[in-house]
Amino acid sequence: MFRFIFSRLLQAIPVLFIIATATFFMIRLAPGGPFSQERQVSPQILEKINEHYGLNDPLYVQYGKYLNSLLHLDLGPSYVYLGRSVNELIRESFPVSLELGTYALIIALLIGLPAGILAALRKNTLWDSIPMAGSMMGICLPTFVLGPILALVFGIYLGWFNVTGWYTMSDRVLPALTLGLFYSAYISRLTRGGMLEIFSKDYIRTARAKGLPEHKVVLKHTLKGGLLPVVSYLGPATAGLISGSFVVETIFQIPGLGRHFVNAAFNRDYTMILGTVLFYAILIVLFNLAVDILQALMNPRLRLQND
Amino acid sequence: MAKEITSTADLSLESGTSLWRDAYYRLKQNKLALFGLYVFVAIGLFSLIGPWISPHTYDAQDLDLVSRPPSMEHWMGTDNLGRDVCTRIMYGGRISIGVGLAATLVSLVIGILYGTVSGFAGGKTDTAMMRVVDILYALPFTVFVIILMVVFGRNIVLLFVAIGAVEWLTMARIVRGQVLSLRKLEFIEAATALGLSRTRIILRHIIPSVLGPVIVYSTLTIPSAMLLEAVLSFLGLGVQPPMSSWGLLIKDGAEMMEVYPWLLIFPALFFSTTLFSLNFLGDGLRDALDPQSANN
Amino acid sequence: MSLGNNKEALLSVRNLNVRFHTRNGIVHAVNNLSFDLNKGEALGIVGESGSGKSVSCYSIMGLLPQPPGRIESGEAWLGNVDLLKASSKQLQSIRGKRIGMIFQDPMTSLNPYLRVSTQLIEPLLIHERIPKKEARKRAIQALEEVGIHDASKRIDYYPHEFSGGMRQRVMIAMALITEPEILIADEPTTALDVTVQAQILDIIQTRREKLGTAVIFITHDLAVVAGFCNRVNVMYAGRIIESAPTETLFRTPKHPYTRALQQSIPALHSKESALYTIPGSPPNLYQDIKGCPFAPRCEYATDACTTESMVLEAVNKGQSTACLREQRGELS
Repeated sequence: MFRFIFSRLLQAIPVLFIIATATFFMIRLAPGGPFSQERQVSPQILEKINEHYGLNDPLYVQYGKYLNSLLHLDLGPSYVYLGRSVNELIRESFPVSLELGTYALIIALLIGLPAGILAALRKNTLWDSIPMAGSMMGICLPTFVLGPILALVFGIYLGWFNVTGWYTMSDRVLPALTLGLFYSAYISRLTRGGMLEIFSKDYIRTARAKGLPEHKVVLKHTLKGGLLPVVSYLGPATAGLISGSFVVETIFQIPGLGRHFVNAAFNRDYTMILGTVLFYAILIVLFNLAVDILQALMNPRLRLQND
Repeated sequence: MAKEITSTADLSLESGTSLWRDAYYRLKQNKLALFGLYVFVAIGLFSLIGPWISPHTYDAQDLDLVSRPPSMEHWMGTDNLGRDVCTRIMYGGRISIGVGLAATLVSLVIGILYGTVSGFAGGKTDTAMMRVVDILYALPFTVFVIILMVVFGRNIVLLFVAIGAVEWLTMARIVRGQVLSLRKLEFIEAATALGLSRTRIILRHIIPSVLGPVIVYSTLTIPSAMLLEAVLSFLGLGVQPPMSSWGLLIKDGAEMMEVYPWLLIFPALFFSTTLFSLNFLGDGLRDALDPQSANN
Repeated sequence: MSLGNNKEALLSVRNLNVRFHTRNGIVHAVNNLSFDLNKGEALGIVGESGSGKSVSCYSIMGLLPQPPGRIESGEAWLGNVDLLKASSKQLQSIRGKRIGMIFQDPMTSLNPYLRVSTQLIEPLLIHERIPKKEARKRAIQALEEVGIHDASKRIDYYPHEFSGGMRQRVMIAMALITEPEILIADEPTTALDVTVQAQILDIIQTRREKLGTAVIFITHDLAVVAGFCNRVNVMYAGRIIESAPTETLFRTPKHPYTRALQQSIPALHSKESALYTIPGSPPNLYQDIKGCPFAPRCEYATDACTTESMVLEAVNKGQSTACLREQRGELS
């Protein structure tokens, strides 16, 4: 098992390296630098600033310097929030996104899993069509539509919640709900699909032939296999949830990592962009690894392939 | 058991329906999918032909009638510059659906090429190519698209290339899967034994079989691509004014929703309905072309 | 059917009718089926795909997927319980306890996500309510009795760690662990190598002799039935067309279909160069066939065969046939 984890982590390093390099060069390709747009600075001052940040050095030099600082786990200074480092900004905003993502994940699982299992058990009845219609709506009402609508109804018309901000606990509700409902749609569909797939298997027939009561057939024999598709989905999905949904954070004005990323992209804050991308990539690697381990625990057939 | 029965039934060769006719028949019976089809066509026509019929243009500003709720003159109200919302939604539809279709096309082309090559090559080349797909699959694509848009500017052509470059992965996987299973099927060997050239085999036998899943997933990719475009536009990185897409309209609407909710509700309605209808249609096509998946 | 309700038989099936309601029409899978199973008897049910042999047994066990399948009418008496009308609770207490079942494909019939030990002790835990430790001991013993060595270690393996033949042995152990009165074996050897087939048959036979279990052995292979069963029911188009003790069936078959089946078995010493195949095509089960369903393919068929309704009648001690002409003695 440890060999497995270790080798996966090892594999991740070249991937991260590629991502860092690719992003670095892509950003540099963009015309104009972080300091050249929308700022009323004279060319000489611009020159000085660029000099200060090393932006006039040849590209490969900049690249080398960057890699060096990466090895020291230093993501560099932000070009937009002058005087603050990327590390600091991430450290500040990530916990916010983490909190939001966790709430959303819990909501998504609490709604999606039971809905999917119920739909599978009562296939082709109302208990199936209603949750599935609901999940279809969830998929077709993306966060940037659902969010404003929820804000409109519950925030403005009913006045129950604030529409923006992240101060009180009640501020958490609408954004978490928006994000959570969206993901619950996918989770319920995957769960239903996975469960139905297992139900049609021969070994379920065997279980019934042994005289197992139906609830045991479902809980003991179907769940493990049925939930596998959800588990693989959850890997990248959780990483996405936790690193901040750009849209939700923008709509509800939440000071999370996602919003910083969007701003950075707009303002060509190179280091911030790179830093967030790398951070995100690491999260994905970790979560994929966690999911793979979980899957190996759930599916014994996978364990043979692990060395 | 039930499998026994259907195999006996299959032996009754009297009707001899082809795969397509069978699928068509099944699709016709699926009310939901048909509904999706009609709705999508309706919205498509609305977006395409609407502007020619509408008495307003999408950029005509009437500063006397700023931000008015729906009325006889303006069925969906006006926006903050006095422009007719309904016509703007029509234009928005053209862009949104257009980008969706174009991006899907891009992903189709890349995906089919990649998948076919990988499937046909087999062996180590195939494994390597699929590993690449696996790695790419795990990467945060929205992030990359955003970066691409930042880098290359907010060009609409680049928009659907970028989106297409994200969506091709699933298509490649599916095509490759089909090619692989077809290679194993005996009718390919039979055709080869009969001396048909490789090209002939590809054209006459492989492509029709691959076409099925490709059609299904294309139909499901369009809403996916539209979603991506809408998110980008919402963040300000996609379609730029004065052009508008549903994503932009929703963004503008959301900003004003406290006072002028119709600016949000109408575009959102059109957008979601289109996604809905395409998803239903896609699901229906999937059930029609592969009845076993109807169990799910 | 003129068999009456046999109170002495262990299992008594009467007038079973099963239909499948599909998009393309109604499939008449089992038509007016009646048979008995006596204590300790090994009954073979032979027929081709679609003959209804598996469907009938699944119906009795309550394992038929009820849409699209439907048990239209009939009775299946196990003692004084009609299985076809029993509540699901009653059925659950009978399945795995009084009737055990093994299936065709050992690869897919065991749950890949659970250890063999877990699956093996389940029937014991549910039906006999004994503590886990004791159940485990019995399970290990059961594995040894089907010839799996090192059972105390291998019981904790997962199914994919066993070979096909081994898995089928596990299935047999699992089905017999509660010492049921009846074992239904649905083509247990079809998916296995020929050498392994013999081993499996052997194991079933040994266990059967030890426990006195009655066996319903479903197969399409007449040859397999020969060494194993006391009696054979031959099915065609959802009906029994002949029933006889095994030796009698082989010596003096009293139905053209049975004869044709026997002829189809390729014999090593045959001088014929061409393999015998039964002419014509399998019956169309979408129709409710009046008269003899085999008539279109039968070389002895007369007009009466297609118009008069088919009845299973005894022609001598222990042997019944549904062939009109045999019943009238026209063919022997």
